[in-house]
Amino acid sequence: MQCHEFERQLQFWLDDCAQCDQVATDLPAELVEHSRSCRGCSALAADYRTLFGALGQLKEVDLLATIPAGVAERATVTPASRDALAVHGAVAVRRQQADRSPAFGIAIAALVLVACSWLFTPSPHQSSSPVAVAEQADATDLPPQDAALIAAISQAWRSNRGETWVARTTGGLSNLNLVSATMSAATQWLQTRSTPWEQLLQASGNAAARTDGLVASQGSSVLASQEPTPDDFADHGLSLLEWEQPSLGTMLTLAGWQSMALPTEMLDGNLFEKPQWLLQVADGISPMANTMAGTITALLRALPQDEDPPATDDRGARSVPLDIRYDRAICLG
Amino acid sequence: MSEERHLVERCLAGEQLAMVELVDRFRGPVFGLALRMLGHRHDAEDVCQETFFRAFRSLHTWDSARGFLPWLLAIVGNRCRTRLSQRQRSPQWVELAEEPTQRAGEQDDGGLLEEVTLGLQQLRPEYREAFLLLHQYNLSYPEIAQRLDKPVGTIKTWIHRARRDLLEHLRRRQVVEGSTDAMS
Repeated sequence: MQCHEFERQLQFWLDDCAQCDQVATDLPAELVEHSRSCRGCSALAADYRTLFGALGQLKEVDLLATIPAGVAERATVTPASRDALAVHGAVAVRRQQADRSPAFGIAIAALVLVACSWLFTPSPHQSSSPVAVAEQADATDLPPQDAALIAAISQAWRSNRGETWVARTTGGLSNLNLVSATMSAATQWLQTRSTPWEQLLQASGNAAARTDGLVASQGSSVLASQEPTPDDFADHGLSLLEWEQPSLGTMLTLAGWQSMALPTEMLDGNLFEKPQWLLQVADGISPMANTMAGTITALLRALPQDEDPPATDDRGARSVPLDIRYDRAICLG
Repeated sequence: MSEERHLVERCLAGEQLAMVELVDRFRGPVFGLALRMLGHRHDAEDVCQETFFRAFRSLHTWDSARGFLPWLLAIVGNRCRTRLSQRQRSPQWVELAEEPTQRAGEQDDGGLLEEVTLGLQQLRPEYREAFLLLHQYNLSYPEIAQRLDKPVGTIKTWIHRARRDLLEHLRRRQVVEGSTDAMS
């Protein structure tokens, strides 16, 4: 057998056997015979064994349950967000690797439910803006009883339909208004559930967070009382960037939370881009309740239904408005 | 297959627990392919989310005579390609790949896996997708060809080149010590 024939047959064999677990070990006899007499072909076969051995191991890796060490911190910390978090001194940050996988899965499931409720539930036409919905949720008619409500608002804003809604909500309403209204609802919701939240902190094993506690400043919450202004941000030492592109950490800081035991990437990430993180925060406190579906349905019925549904193909549809898209290149810079 | 079909039928009937169950069952491979394709966890999370949205929107179009996972993975692939093309039009973020600290003969499994992962990221996207669908998700050549809308021969060529390029990467990084003569 010539070397090129060995290579050709090896490729055929790889094609045939690539889906079984024998690739890394059992070469056909004739290939073994040739490889014994040819150093180059022997090395080639050995390299493929190494490669396929690694591929077999890669199959076993649960990507959902792993976070590359240090990557998240290096890639997401920005000077602006670091300054924001430093405003209130000690901010306990801890990566919650073990908790991330189920939380993320639940978050996706919740968001899918939002979409499905929209898909499968006929809703009457109404013309409330998402801001109005959020403000309504902040009031008494539709209390924020469920984390899915927050996720639904965030997701609605984030979707193509939300982009349209935002464009329609002129008259002084900015993108941040919706976020602030959402966070206001979220903050109030969080504040009513201090005990489970403390349990979460304890479960995280973060000693610093346990010591400092999660202190909500009484009566000083900017978001719970009124819409924030650039001056509010400046008063807290926050930059214009944070005003335009608030992170979850910034919003929680403004809302009066002194210390958060959350992954860095969650605190620093753009809230516009990562509504699921908001749900993760809430979800860590209380698992989704059975009332979620009803809450979502009520919310969606309050949203306008006269828009075309988001495109379902892959040609040009985008889920995040480009003008508020968080730019990681800037972050890294 | 019948179990998948039943689950999808329950979803189409509006049973929300079935929707959660479907997400829970498939989010692993969906996220895995997205992460391997994009090499960035946040983007993969987004793509994972978008994939399930789109899948549920188009659930009624799924052909139950074919596997659900290949159908779902095709959506992931589409979303990943869209995301990759968006990256090309926007400022690039820097992948903070670490230099290998170990060399051939002394690398542990973690180092080898990291190098293979890095090598996968450097493959051409179409090679990478076909390669992953075959070697990580056990799709057959005809299934991959159907999902990527390419002839089987093209898929075989892509996968062959992916293997070759991946091996070449490992050699360049001195993770394996083969002869490059045999690769030509």
